[in-house]
Amino acid sequence: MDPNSIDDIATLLQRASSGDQSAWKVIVDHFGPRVFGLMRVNCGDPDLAEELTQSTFCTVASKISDGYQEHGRFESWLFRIAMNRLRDEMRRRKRHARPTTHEAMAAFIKSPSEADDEVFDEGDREALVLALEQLSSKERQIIDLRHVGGMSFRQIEELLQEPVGTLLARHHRALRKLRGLIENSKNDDSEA
Amino acid sequence: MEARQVNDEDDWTGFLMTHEPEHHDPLSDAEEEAPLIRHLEAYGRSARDRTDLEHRLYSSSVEFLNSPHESLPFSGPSKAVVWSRLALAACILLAFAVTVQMLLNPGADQSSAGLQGPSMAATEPLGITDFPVDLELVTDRETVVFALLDAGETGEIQSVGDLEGTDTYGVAFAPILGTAGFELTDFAEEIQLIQGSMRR
Repeated sequence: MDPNSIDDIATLLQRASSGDQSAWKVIVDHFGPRVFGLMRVNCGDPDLAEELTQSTFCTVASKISDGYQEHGRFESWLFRIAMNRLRDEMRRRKRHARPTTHEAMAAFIKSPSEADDEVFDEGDREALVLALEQLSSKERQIIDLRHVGGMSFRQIEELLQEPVGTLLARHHRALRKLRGLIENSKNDDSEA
Repeated sequence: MEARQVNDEDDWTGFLMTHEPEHHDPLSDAEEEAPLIRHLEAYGRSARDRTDLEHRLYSSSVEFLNSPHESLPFSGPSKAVVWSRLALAACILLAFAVTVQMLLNPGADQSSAGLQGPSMAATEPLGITDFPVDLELVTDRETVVFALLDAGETGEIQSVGDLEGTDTYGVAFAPILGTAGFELTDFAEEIQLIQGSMRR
């Protein structure tokens, strides 16, 4: 069963809501890392990110058992719970959720998979990390939702309650800015 | 399970089919963005990666499936229990009413004795309202109850056990009421319980 399919996710949720643990496992396996990744790049602490992700899934499990009806919006609903949980935790700790610092990001992208080595060498990683830090918070948010959270623009629209045209333009602008920053960084390195 | 790869092509096609007349977006699929997109995907994979993450998430959350139905903290007794309690209490009420009639008017005609007791009680509600039962004296049954309570307060009747040896009604209802230990205060509590259940 493919959790990317709206029909399948509805079936999985229905089964999980009636106590089918195998269906719940498929949901957790599919969405868990994506929620965790988003938490991680926003708080910079993998342990806290996992804790918040666990809390999110406990909430979701309770709510779907209580009669959640899937109308094709599960993903944006899930991520909204996660982002609210993150915001609440940051508020509790009296600090803002903000994109991960250079050091924290460098730590978790130090050892990418072998497949990533082909497209993502040390210099690329460094340049990308530095460039991401220079994006505005909104630009960084859409990059994270899209490329770490793996969300579609339609889902981001539902999550952020912003027109999809605005989101597309912002994403495009963020990519262009990132590319420019990375190129500048490489040029600086080569001149040095 | 590896997280879903963001597929711009599919995603945009789905979006554009509903939002734009052309099935091609000039912003997203530019060739020049492709390497950057791949780098961002690799960055996303790194962020999502953590050993045994899925297993821990599943283990911590699976117990919450169906938990609301299994552990309602304030779920009251079932309807069957409520109705059986009501039926038992009604039997108790009836037994006491009949017994009190017999005790208060042992030699009188039953119909006249039945009228006398309640009417006396109904005229003296203030003396009885020390007892914390908030009942209105509007029916015969209720006035009988108060007369019974009054009798308990003045010491005329102490318990069901007192009734057993003195009349046939007490003996007849003994299996329902219990043979000992059922005091009038217990009976008053039963009234409160019934009243509370009915209000709920």
